[in-house]
Amino acid sequence: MRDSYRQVYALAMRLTGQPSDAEDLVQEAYIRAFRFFHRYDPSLPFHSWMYRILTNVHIDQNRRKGKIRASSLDSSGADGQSAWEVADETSSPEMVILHDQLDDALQLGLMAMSPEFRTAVVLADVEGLAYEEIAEIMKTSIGTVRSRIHRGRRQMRKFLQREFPERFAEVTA
Amino acid sequence: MNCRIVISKLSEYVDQELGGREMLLVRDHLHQCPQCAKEHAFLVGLKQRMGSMKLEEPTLGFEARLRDAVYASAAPKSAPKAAGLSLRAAVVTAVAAASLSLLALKLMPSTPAEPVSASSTTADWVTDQTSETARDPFVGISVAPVSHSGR
Repeated sequence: MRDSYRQVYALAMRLTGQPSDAEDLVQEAYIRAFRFFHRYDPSLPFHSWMYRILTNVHIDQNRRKGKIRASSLDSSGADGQSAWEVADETSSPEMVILHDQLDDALQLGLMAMSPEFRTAVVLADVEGLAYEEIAEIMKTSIGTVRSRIHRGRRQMRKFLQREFPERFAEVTA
Repeated sequence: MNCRIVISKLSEYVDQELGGREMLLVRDHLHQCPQCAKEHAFLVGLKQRMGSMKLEEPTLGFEARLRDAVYASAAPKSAPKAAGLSLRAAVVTAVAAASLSLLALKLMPSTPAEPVSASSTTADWVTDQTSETARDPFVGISVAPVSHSGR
């Protein structure tokens, strides 16, 4: 546990954006891992197994809280207008703190995604995992992973263009 | 490949998840199309920035809190189980004890044997043997050494 929890915490931090939420998430993941340790296959890397549990807990928690947005944030209506409205979140006290503490803009962009998209993008870009590994962790197909990463990045681009046009001018122009 | 297909495959291209032939086709298109090249540059920049995000560290004492929480979660599960087991063991023991008691009562003679005094000692046993010897005619009495020197 000593070796793995920091790595798991770093992922939890990217998924939740808040230290207290990340700690709660890691704690719940380890409790589940402890309870179902008999299901762990020692031939596979322990951190992959922990990632799988962590991402499942994360998505479960969001579902329970009703925080999952059923429609994609960058889904466009018939008129071509973006349905992605997250402006209020950036002005809340939590988001102001987050803005100061994290690699802010990117983290805010991640938080604006649905948990499934966020998880896929974080595992690909922050953890550097291959699609096959991500599919294994998220218990889904490679095609779904491909789609989530593609759409997640599109959402991120739109978010950065709108919220931080100056900071990301060189990449979002 | 046209722009629409290339854009749909750019994420996989950046992640090196395309097959060899598709990789070459996308690369060729990017050399010719500034618009798609710009999209590609964004994705490459985004991936690099995401990959270099600061590694967040947990707060002080988190490891201990985590360990405590994991052990605490296991404790309430194991306690009732242990209690259940001990209760079951107690019931089995009680039934076995009752059965043995009944069996013992059945096997016991109708007239109880003379209770053996707890104070019986080796001295008592010797006394008993002596008195028995005195009453038994076939038991020879102690023979004193005979001297034939007088003959």
